[in-house]
Amino acid sequence: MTDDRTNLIAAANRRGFMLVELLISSTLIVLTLGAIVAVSYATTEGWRCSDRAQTLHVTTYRTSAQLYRLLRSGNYVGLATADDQQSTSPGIISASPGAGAAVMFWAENGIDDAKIEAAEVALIEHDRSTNTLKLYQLPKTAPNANTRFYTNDISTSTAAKAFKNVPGVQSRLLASGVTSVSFRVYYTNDSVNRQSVDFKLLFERQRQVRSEFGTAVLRSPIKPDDT
Amino acid sequence: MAAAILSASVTAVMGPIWASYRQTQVMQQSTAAASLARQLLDEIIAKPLADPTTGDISHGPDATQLTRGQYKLVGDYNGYSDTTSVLTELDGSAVTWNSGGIYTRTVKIAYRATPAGSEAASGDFALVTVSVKAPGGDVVTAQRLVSNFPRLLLKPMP
Repeated sequence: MTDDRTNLIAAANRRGFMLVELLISSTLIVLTLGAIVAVSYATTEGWRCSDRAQTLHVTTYRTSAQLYRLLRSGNYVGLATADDQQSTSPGIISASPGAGAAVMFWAENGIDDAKIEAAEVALIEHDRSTNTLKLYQLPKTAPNANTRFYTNDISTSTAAKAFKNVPGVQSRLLASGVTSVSFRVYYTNDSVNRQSVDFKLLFERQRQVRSEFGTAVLRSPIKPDDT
Repeated sequence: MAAAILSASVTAVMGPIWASYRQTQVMQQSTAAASLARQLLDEIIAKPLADPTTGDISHGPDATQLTRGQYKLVGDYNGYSDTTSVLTELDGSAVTWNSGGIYTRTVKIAYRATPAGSEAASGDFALVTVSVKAPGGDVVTAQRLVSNFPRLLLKPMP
């Protein structure tokens, strides 16, 4: 009897949450969840954006480093044009809508004779249809590797096109996502200054844009022996 | 109480995220600054240290050298300064800089009598220093020692 009475009193004193308390706690839970979702979304987006920028940044740096390495070790630069330009005779640049930028040079002096041979020539060209930068070279093991080249053979856009058609010439991808390229050579046939090449690159990838501007000076310039 | 806990939590979460973003930004700006320094250094070392005819050296551009396209000697670059907002090639054509923010480049040419010697008024060596200030305020410095000896300048090899 006494126990029943005690239980009844305890049940009467027990109370649930008021409606206002429930509403406030629900609101706080919603606010907290909303904040967590917002922070997670912002973090994810920030990470993706940072990742894209970082990827483009590394691509730019890597391409620039390769251009410096190739050009600095060159002996003589014959051709350098920007997009929409061509060179029909050495040193003369004219407009050519649609043409890709190119730099053609005597990349190495293999047997120290100041004579250019086919396997010592390098061509870097901007392929605008694929937005890529490619390096064309003939392997030293090719049967025609020792074919003699002269200054004029590396100094015009026509010569660049002909070089790409030389049997055995291989292309190698230097960079992708390159939408605009410009090469310019200074001090050709100069006896005071060393030859240098300016390059301007524009990379675009997934709404990210990055530009690169460099100047590569030939470390051991040599006037080709055309005799 | 709940609001205080919430704000503290948000602050705790955002702190590392901001630090990570800032770190990435500093790294990218430092690389871009190094690239700009490398460009100017290579441009400078294409020039002779001393005039090949008179042997004179330069401590900065003369009154007729208004742009760096008119510089002839390494020393003409002493005191040179530019920014990426008006960046140009040697021939004056504009360079569009899309890599974020404005970078400022300055050049100092310090002559030396010996490669490891102290700075002198003239000498057969010069330490070329290019400093690039990034938008975030960090400064990247690149140096190269140039010397005054006859070079192989587009001459046929013997």
